[in-house]
Amino acid sequence: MIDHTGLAVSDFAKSKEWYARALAPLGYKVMMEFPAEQAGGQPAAGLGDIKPDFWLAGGGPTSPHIHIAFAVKSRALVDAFYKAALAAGGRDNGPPGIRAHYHADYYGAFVLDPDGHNVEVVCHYPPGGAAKPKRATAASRGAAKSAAKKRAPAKKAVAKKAKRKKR
Amino acid sequence: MIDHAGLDVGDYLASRAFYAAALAPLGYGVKAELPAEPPGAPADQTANF
Repeated sequence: MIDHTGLAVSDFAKSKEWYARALAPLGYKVMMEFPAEQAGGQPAAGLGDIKPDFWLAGGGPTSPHIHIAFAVKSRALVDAFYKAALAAGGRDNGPPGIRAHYHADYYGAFVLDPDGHNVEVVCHYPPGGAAKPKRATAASRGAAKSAAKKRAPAKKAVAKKAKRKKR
Repeated sequence: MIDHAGLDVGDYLASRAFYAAALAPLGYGVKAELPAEPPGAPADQTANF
């Protein structure tokens, strides 16, 4: 599972404003911010809903273009993102709709950010919503649980290594 | 919440092998692979990375 990611942008203030507006329908806002002198020479901002999981830094743009997709639980939120992202100055890269080549209920919209990065918001639920997305069957959830148990020790080892590296 | 992310790489096969090996302890594997040709389908996208 992805914890957070980030990219360098060419105009920090402009991109921060664009993402804040485009992702507002998802409950995203700027949650954390560091001035250049505290963030390795470039300002940084972390956006998120419950934790900052999407980071912007100055000094870009990141090249070549990246792709990032955010998950929502209703198709109406995909539509709201598309509208907000275009209103904030984004360029259309694919209107809200089903992308059946991924799966039958894959409903996404694509907008290019101020640097041309491909930003998507996707809903995996059928229209009207559901308790769980179709792709997560009882069997796959069970398998995921046992896989999580199996890999728990490995995760700890990785965390330890990261700690050592920090110092 | 991030659903998935992707990036273009210089050497697709080398990077594919690197990520598969590096993320194997997390239970990650190549879950989906798209051909290069269809419109807008980057060849390097896996299930959520």
